[in-house]
Amino acid sequence: MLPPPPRRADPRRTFAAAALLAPGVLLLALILVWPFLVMLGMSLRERFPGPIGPSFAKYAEFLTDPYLLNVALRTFSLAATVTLLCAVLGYPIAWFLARSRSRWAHLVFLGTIFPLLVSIVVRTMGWTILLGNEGLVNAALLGLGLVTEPLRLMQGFWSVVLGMVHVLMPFMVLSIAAVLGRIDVAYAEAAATLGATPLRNFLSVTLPLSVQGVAAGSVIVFCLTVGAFITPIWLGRGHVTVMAIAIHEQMVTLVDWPGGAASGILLSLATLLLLGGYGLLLRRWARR
Amino acid sequence: MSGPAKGVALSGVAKWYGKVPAVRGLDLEVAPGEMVSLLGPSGCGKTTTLRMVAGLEAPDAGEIRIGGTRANEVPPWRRNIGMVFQSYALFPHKSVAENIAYGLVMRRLPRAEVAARVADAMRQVQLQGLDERVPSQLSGGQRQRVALARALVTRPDVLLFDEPLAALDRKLRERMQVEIRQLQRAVGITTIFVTHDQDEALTLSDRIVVMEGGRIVQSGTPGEIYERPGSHFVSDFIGMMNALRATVTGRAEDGGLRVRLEPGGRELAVAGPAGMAAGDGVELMLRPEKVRLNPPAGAGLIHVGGTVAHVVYLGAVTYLHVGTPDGLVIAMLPNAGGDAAAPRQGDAVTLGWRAADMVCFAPPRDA
Ligand SMILES: Nc1ncnc2c1ncn2[C@@H]1O[C@H](COP(=O)(O)OP(=O)(O)OP(=O)(O)O)[C@@H](O)[C@H]1O
Ligand SMILES: [Mg+2]
Repeated sequence: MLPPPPRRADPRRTFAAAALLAPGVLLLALILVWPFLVMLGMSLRERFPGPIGPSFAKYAEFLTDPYLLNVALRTFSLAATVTLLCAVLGYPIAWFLARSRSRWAHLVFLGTIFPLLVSIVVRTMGWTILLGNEGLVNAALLGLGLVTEPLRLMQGFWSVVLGMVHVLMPFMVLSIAAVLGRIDVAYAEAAATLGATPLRNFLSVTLPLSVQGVAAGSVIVFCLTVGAFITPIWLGRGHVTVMAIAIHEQMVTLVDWPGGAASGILLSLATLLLLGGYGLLLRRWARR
Repeated sequence: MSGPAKGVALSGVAKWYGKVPAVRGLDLEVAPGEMVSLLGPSGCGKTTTLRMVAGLEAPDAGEIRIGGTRANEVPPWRRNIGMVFQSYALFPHKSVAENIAYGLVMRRLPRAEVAARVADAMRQVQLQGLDERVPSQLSGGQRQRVALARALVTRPDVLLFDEPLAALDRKLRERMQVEIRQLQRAVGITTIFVTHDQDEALTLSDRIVVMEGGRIVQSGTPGEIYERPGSHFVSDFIGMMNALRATVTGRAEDGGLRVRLEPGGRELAVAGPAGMAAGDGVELMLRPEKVRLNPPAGAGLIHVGGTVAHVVYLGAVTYLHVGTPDGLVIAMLPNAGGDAAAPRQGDAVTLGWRAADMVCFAPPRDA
């Protein structure tokens, strides 16, 4: 056989590809890479204005500051909790959306993405109306005589979890449903004829095959929770300080720009590491 | 198998999908160890019937018995069946060995026994050395074997196939047909095999069940179905057929029919179904291989002269399409070799066949 003729790039095609890619690449460079480099430079100063060290003083400060470490721990606990809840609560909804031929599937779909369509302010106000000291839940509890003074339903870790799960659920549901919809039902049927009870069938066939959807949804939900600012402020009422709030404090209140930048870089790194480990774990489990 | 082979019996089984009837009142008995093919055109309800036996669909009426006990309410995972799907449905995230082991693991057999039986099954279907591959790294024939091994390794009471060979090329399909048949005989397992390929049904089955429109139209051994089709539909569906149009002119003394071939006006006596009256239109069905070319005169044959309109050469056989005064007749000639050259297009030939080889049916109503 003759070797295939060498593929020569058609200059017109190359140009077209470059022209099509350019706007996206430029935009990414502008809004992602450039600010990141600025941040990195900032974090390597000891003070601002001042020379770029490079100095790791601000990183060392962060890693020895119990307050900031505590905030970081809280942030990642919050993100992990929200991700877990979204996955556990969202999977059945995704299942319904992907497999059901019911007329109600459209309504469920709308209900799922509805929180995304409502502005964050309105959504958070809604939770306030529900959970605040004069809110509906407290009014009902007081009216029924179940409590004598309003419960502090807001201002806690769990009220923030509630609000975050509410708004981030659609990302999880849609990620899982997209993958579930593409899995041939015959796999689960084959497993059933081979003696798998519904639970073992799900755990050994459908769940591993849909794990990519869970992983994708988890990454989105986790990242968005780690970076969340307004919901923790509003629903936590200042009692749930997460990294976004702490960095804001460092930069705006304490005017410690290098410190805030170092926190931001560390937060990004930790998030990447955690997600990488999580991805590996899931893949290993699914390939059992 | 756990104990002696079990049979399957369906009685009055029906299934609707919404307002669409898929299966309408099916009665079918499969004896222990028997291999039965469900044969019929697309959409006649074969898959639906098989899925009801597997428990993947619930019948709307009727009863399904496996080994004499009612199985309607038994979920698929407790029916002890093996099923080979058309798409094979091999678990893409598991290796070949894990796929085959799946049913044994679900039955919570000890590790050592699982390993031994998987190795056994892999030897049985000639898959040695492929344990660690995943399905996407296998050829179509190998996937087919994995699916077969996975279904057989649990020693099910009933083995179900849904057109498992449809995706294979012809050579491989024919080899797999023989292999499946040999394996089924060796294991002695009760088997239902769905296909719309008549050759496959003839090759594989102890008995062929021909279905049409959700019903069984005929059931019998391959020989019976081929030689004595019970209806126009069956005769047309199985094997290639000549259909000569004719009109009934009366009853013969021996109980047969007297008919007149339509274009040519030739009068014949043939065997025919009861309930035919003079003036009814019928079709005389005749297999191409029963037609002889230029037969000697006076052999008790019906002789028809004609002109070769078309020659189809298939290597082992040649089909002659011959235009005759009685309509188009297709004759199949074996290529025995050494003979005089086969007729060519435009040649004048004489065809002959025995009257007894013709079967007479009322033409299909919608035709
Ligand atoms: N899930 C379903 N929903 C609605 N109708 C269905 C469904 N499955 C099958 N049918 C209908 O039921 C009838 C029988 O289908 P079935 O799949 O049993 O046919 P089949 O004999 O297996 O055909 P094929 O040879 O094409 O596989 C068809 O008319 C089909 O359209
Ligand atoms: Mg089918």
